[in-house]
Amino acid sequence: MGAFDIKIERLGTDFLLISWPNKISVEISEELLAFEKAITQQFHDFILVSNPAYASLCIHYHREKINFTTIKNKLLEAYRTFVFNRVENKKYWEIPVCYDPELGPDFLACCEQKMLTPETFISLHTEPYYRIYFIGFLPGFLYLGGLNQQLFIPRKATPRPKVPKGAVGIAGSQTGIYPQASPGGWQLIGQTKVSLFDADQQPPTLFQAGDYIKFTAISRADFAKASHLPVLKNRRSDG
Amino acid sequence: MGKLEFIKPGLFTSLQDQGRKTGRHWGLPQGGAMDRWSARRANLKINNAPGLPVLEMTGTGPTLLCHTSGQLALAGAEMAVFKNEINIHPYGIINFKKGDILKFGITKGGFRTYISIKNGFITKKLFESVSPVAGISASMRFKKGEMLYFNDSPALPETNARLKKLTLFPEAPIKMIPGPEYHLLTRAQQTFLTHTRFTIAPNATRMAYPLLPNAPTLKNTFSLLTSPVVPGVVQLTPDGQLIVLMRDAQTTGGYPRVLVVTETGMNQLGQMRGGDTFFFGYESA
Repeated sequence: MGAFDIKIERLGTDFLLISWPNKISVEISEELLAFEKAITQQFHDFILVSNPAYASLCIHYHREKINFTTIKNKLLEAYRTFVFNRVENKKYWEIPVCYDPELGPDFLACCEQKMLTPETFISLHTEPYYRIYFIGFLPGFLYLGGLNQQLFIPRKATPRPKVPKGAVGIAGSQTGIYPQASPGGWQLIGQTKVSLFDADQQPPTLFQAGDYIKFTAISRADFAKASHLPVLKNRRSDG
Repeated sequence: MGKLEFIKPGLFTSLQDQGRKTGRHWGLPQGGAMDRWSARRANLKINNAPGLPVLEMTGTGPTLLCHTSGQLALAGAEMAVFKNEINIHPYGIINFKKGDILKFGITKGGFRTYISIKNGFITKKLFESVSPVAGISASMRFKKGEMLYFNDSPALPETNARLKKLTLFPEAPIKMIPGPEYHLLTRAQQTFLTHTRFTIAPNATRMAYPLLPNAPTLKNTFSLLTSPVVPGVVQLTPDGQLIVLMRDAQTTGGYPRVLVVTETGMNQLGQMRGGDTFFFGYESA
């Protein structure tokens, strides 16, 4: 049996939403992702595609084959009999980032605002393994959890008309990477060559919800010859 | 292989189908025809499978130079069609031959008209759909000089058998159901949603239709975690702006989802443009 009170409701004509308690927690996220995997296997005839967020899961179901009430009851029954095995299949990735002020135009101002030396700022940003809670908003955009509180910085008052692909930024309690060039208001502290979404590859991204990433600092010279691929690390023993 | 050339691209012309059924977990938008019902009708008129790609024309249609012969049909908003500057009947099957110039006019009684082509357009798919994706596809719409390819087909007899005026949706409320955060609204806000004549803002796009006027703002602000959104979700921003997410919407969002428009309502909205007005109405059980 699942560990939480979940709720299932319609989200328009083609979709339904399964909601867990409304908070960011690794425990909820892990159970949610495991349940998503279980039901997409069990009900692959009825489920076209699903996408998770922090504490809810959206399912695009095949409404010509099954109606909402029937699939809702099947999913609730599946949750009642669900056994969450903490299987260690998540991956740990390293993403090299260059924190050169030319590539991270807000880096020095952020250091100043937080009264941190550039070295301390970088060590705080590269220290944690960030959990990928889910991918959303833009193709390949990773919602990461685990930013050190000392690095919480509000977004810029005026967004930039164009932020380059691969820009690494901070907005409030979030850190993230722009998967494509777009307008944006994040504080830009560096840049990576790692590709977050490549439409010509199958799958288009190597990252999955539930994986962990860590940033590593590289020099300007190393950035110039850096790879588009992230570095897969050995599984950490403490999981 | 059949070929058509854009002499003029029209206001916003793109190939669309019934939308992407994959890739949401990578953040890929659903896309697809803004009025999926009319897109299917255009295909059925010419005996195509209903889900084949169609050309979505918006407001003003393109002018096409025909490099080969073929047959097409229209559905959706009413639209005048000129073949070599002669006004032709738009409701049947339209035959064209090499050298013809087809000019598609201005939409009437709706905002989008769909062209189906016998045996279907030939086009590259992006994750199982032809619908362009912002930032990934080279362009979201056709430009002057671009080509459209389609499968050759033997000429069909020019027929009046299907000569029937297209009927769009009657003027009716946009059907919706309460969204996941509806219960967090005040009674005054809930009443506002069902008793206001809303106007679609001028900056309405395939991604989102902002609405006017603003709703009474929330007394108790509540924080919503970033959560999944789908086409049809009506978001309420902290300053009271209501936004209907349309077919090209993002996959997650952080604003309360106060309503969700039904599929029929989405097709109706797809035929509306900035300045058009409507009421929301509950979907009958």
